[in-house]
Amino acid sequence: MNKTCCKIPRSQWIRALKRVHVDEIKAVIDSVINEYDVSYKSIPQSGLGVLQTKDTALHEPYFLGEFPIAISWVALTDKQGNTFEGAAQLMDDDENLASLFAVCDAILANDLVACCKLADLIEMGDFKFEQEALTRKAMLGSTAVDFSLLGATNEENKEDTSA
Amino acid sequence: MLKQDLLGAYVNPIWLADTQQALFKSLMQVLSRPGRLDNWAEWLENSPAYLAVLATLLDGEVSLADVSGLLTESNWPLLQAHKSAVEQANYILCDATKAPTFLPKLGTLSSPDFAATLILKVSSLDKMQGNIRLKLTGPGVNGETEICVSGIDQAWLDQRNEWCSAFPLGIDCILVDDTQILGLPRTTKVEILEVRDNGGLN
Repeated sequence: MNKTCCKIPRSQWIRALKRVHVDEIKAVIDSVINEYDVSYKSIPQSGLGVLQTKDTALHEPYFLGEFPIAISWVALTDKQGNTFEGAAQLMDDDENLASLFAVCDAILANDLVACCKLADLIEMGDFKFEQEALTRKAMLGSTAVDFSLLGATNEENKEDTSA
Repeated sequence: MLKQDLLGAYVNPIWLADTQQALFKSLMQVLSRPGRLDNWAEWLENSPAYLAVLATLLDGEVSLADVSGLLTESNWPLLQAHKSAVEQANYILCDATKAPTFLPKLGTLSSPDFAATLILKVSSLDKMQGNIRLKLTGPGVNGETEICVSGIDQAWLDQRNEWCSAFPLGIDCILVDDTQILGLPRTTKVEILEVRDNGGLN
């Protein structure tokens, strides 16, 4: 595993970056991108993905529907000829955003210049994600239905009828 | 181009959608008109023509066999196609100077479109000069036409005619030199008129 100044696990970097304003990320990248030659390992693409799952009744596969997906895989080469790779795959319809995040991934994974600035942004994004998760959990909790009372009511009704 | 604006990255034109649309149209033309030579020099920059053909035709849903090792490892993620054994490949890339030693997919009677498409790299394609002079007849050819090919083992042509002898089964070939392409669909009858040692240069 590569050394990095970011405490958040790599698998959560993109999720956190999505919660940060793009201009803030772009400002960090713009300040360091001239230090590297950027090349694409594969062509950045955006399109629609389909997610297959199984229904719980008959266990037959079906598609949940389409969702936007953008992917990018980049290589940064520094003045000494060292190459660092990064990639991103996100639910978005903008392949340029995927490329921007792929560069972030390369910088963070290889502890390159501006790694700590990006790590701060990721921590900020992760904090926002946690806040959103708490809000969602609270909303979900407020709509929860207690079905255990339904059984008790039915039994009471039966007793009333028999009496 | 936005990709270059954003990251300053350079992308060869053969990987761009606009170029690939133009090249696809050209491919349709040469496969519809066997014997027609299209020159792709303006699109290629430093890329070989066979790579441009593959970039135009391939995606992540098809398989490719690089029989002669013409591709570099860095080409594969860009092409997206998965590697396959030559007998099962949808597309086969070969250096035509070496005789074929395999049997490609010829399709089935119910699905002749499951046949392989061969991309053969030759030294040169020309109307007048070349080692082997061919006569082409069949759909898309007005009567007959001739084409000269250099840098191809004659066994390819014999084998190709055998593979295409039970229509609709067969293979479709795309011959490429450095910058030009020639289509030989399975419906084209190919006859060797002359084999020259000096490439027809007098």
